[in-house]
Amino acid sequence: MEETPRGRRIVIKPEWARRRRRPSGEPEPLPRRPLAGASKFWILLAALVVLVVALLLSSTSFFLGSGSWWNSLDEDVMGVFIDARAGWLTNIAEFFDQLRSDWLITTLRLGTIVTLVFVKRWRHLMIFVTVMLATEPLMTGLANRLARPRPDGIEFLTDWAGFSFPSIPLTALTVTLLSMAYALVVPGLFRKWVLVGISGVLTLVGLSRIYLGVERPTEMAVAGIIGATISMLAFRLITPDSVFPVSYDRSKAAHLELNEARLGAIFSGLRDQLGFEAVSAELFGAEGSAGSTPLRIGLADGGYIFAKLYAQNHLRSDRWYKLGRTLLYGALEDETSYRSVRRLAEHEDHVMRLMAAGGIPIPEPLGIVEITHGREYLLVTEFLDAAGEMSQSVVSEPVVDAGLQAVRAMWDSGLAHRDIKPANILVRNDDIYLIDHAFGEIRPSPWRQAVDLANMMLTLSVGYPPEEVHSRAALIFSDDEIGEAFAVARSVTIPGELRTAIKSGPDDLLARNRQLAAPRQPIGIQRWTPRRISALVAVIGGAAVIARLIALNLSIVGRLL
Amino acid sequence: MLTLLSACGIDSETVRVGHLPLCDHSNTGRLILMAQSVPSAQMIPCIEELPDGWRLKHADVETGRSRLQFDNGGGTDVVVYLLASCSPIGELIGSESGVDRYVALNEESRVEEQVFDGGCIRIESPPGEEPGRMADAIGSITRDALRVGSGWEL
Repeated sequence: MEETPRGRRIVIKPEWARRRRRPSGEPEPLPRRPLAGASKFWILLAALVVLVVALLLSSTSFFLGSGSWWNSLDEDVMGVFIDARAGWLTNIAEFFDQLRSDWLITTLRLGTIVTLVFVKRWRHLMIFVTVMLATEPLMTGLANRLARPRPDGIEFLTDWAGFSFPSIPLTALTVTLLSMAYALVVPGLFRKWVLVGISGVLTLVGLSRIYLGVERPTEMAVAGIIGATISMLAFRLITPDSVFPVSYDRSKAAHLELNEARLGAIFSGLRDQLGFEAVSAELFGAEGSAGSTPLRIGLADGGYIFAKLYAQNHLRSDRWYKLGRTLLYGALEDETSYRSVRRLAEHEDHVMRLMAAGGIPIPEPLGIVEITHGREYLLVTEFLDAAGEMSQSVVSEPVVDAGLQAVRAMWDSGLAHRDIKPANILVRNDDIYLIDHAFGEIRPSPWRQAVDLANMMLTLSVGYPPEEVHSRAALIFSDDEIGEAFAVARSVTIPGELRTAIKSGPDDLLARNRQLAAPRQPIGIQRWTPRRISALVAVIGGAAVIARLIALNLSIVGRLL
Repeated sequence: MLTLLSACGIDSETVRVGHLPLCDHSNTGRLILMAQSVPSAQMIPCIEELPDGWRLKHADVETGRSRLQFDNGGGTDVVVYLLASCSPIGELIGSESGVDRYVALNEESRVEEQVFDGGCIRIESPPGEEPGRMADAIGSITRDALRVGSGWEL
């Protein structure tokens, strides 16, 4: 770390000698293991169940018919329970049997859905709803196909509905409770105890149903295994805790968990790939960042670097964001989503290097670190010590000039930032630095360039008189260019944070800026493109499929009630 | 999911509602389940032969009652119940082998009830030839015959 001729900026110099090429065959710093631990056991068990079900489907009467060895096995075990029937035991069994009731399961599911909506955990919500919608038609279909009646020659002490193999009530309770655990409970020791508790409850409900004479032991076992496997695989594969951690801390909800394995991978990746000896890493500026996990990384020599950790969840956020924009507006600009996390990181790094080459003030890009091949990358830049967001800094005339010059330099270099707002402009003394270049675009449309200028002028106007901002802008931009900027500016083109800042002030800053700019007809933003139409058709089609599944489920529930 | 199952070679209609309760004992699972739903009933409704164009639309078998709903795709439904008891609402049109048959007919519906020891079979259908074909296809077997045919104690 040393002072450089570039004024007060400090350039980090990695120790290149520390770098090490990873030889062929050696895993990346954090290899992906989505199905580690107990999942393997459940996959094996599920495979066994699939095999058994296939055998049953191929010759149902041979396996499940009267007098079959399978029936005899079930009846022998049930006999033990029936022989043990007593008044007090029946009361206990009836109590646990109530836990599978439709009203309780429906209440638990609705409660979970409401909670997930409230905490805005959309991915978990989608998995939860899908598991609930898909499981019951699957199990009801299997039961109807196997057509195994209730146990023979036994007095039923509770209600039942439909065929008994596999147990639909126990499957419903299993997928509900386990999915709740994966969607709502913070991973760790507490979740493990919750899962142990759920297993105990499910076992007691299953034993109660056997005792009450309505279902057989193997029906319970198969239902429990299928329900547990579906829930566990769905959540572990699609919302792994390492990428989509369950958290009730809003500032960390969109961010990756900095567990021991990931921190170790970040440190070894920084050392081997970029030559930095990191000793600490902490979330930094997480409140304003939902598109990545921002980190301040401490180095062994006492300095810091800044890093953005990109993963699948950030890629998917970008996809949903762009799909939403396509549906709402058509094609304001390039709404093509990234194919992979690697492309996302590569794009931002590339834009930053072009910005630096164009003289646009940004933190110095230091490179990309691969954490998990294809899935997790760290984008490393200089850490701007003692710099603050524009909203928390004094905006002086040099700062206004620097902001306007930055836009001019982007125009001249054929670049656009696309997310200019107070949180993305750092101020240190009279210098500014544009940060967060994820949305950056090369050769943007004139419309987009005009939006960048409008947003920069609006951002500066929040902390500096708009009249002064316009008079300084007039030194760099023509009246037509400023007029064009405010002809395109409207609510949708202004980032949310900047909109909030504008609204919080006493004056209507957008209207005031429009008055100060040369008059020009507003420029429309709605575009009807084949992509927008096909996206609309796909979304409507998807909604129809979901509605069909919901209707199917409701009809099944209606028949059970 | 049903589409996926049918793609795997499983008949989706069967998956959705289960097998038809045929009187020839070829699919005894549904008949046994229906017998279990009303343990006192000495007769169980079954289908002699499903008329062309008709299908089993819903089958709800649960503690205390069984309900089979047939339709011909034209909005005409014939519904068959097995219940522990009925309060006959129609006219007695005959008695045979311990089964009393009642029929209530009006412009909108035809309700036939077969009352026997421990239960009753109720058939609801709209008037007309086509629903009549379906209603006529509904027969019954005795619990004893089902025991012998299936090997279940019931």
